[in-house]
Amino acid sequence: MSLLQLAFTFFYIGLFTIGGGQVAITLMQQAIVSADLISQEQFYNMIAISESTPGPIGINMATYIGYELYGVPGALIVTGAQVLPSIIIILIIARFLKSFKDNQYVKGSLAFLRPVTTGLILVPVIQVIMFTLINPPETLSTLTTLEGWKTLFNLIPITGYAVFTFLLFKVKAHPILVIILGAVFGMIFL
Amino acid sequence: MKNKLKEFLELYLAFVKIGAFTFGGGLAMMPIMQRELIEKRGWITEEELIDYFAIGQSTPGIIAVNVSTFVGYKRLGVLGGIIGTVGVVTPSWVIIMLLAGAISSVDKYPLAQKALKGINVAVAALLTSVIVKFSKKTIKNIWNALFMLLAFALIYFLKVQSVWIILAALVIGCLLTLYRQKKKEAE
Repeated sequence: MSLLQLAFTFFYIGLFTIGGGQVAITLMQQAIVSADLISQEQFYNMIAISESTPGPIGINMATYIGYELYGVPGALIVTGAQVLPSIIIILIIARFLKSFKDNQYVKGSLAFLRPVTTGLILVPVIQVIMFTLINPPETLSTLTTLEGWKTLFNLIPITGYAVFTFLLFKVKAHPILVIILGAVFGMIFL
Repeated sequence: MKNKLKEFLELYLAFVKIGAFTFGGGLAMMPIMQRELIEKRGWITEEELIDYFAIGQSTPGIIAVNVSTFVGYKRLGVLGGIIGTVGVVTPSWVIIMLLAGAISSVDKYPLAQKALKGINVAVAALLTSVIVKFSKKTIKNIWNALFMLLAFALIYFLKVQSVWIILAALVIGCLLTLYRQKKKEAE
């Protein structure tokens, strides 16, 4: 696949990614691994590295694939091609919103949407909290004993979570500081 | 001219900072956006960030990029939208290109994995603060709360795609406005 074809592929991936990075990764896998450009094993490794490094995961993956196949120009062009459709679409919507921001139907729709969006955001919040703080029980019978309940909660992460939440709400700590403290906390206690 | 250049540079750097401290998906950048864009710089309001997120979630592309384009456009027009996006992807470019040659697998770096586990705990706390702030802004009566819980339940338990929920909410909101309008006219 030439760099130009790769760029077109990622433009297409960007255009059909609806609902976040996970969708993008599935599309990338179909396009890249199925075409034997990158092995399955290497692809999984790339996901792990993209998850562990700063930056949105979908962008990290695109950059990684572009770099792996075509070096620095590949990294820049592939990522650029991937974000191009969303830049165009968002600029059109943003322009529309600006012209109609006083339109009562636009206002009414957005006002109704906001609490719904809060519910939508609550989903990944609950998922992250469950994932980091709670061990799902293997069977429900573990919950009949006190010991079983004890294994349900990861006490060290829960303590960290409590401290970080306190820092954010009461001390108004900067989110970046909390992330750095999180990294240090992990290296020492986890 | 010089002032304009400075504004673009400030926009670019703000988004570099946001991109550099986002781990995982797009939602993880919300707390940093709240602090940097709303509280510190006043470039957008809390409501606007919520709207951008909802629209970014239901249109093509990576959410982080969509929200950055939105904010950049609002602040400095079309070029601002592009600069904001370039800013948010810059850290990915630099870090991945530096690491790609050096790292073959994350399994070889146990300390980095521990750090990442800790960052996940920090992200859980950050997301808790986002949801509390958003709720304060958006949940003003019992109906708001009901629709919030309904949206949550549809996605969490029934695995409905969020894009359908957002589109449905926009249509219902529009119809409700129309209905209120008609009622007002009748009176």
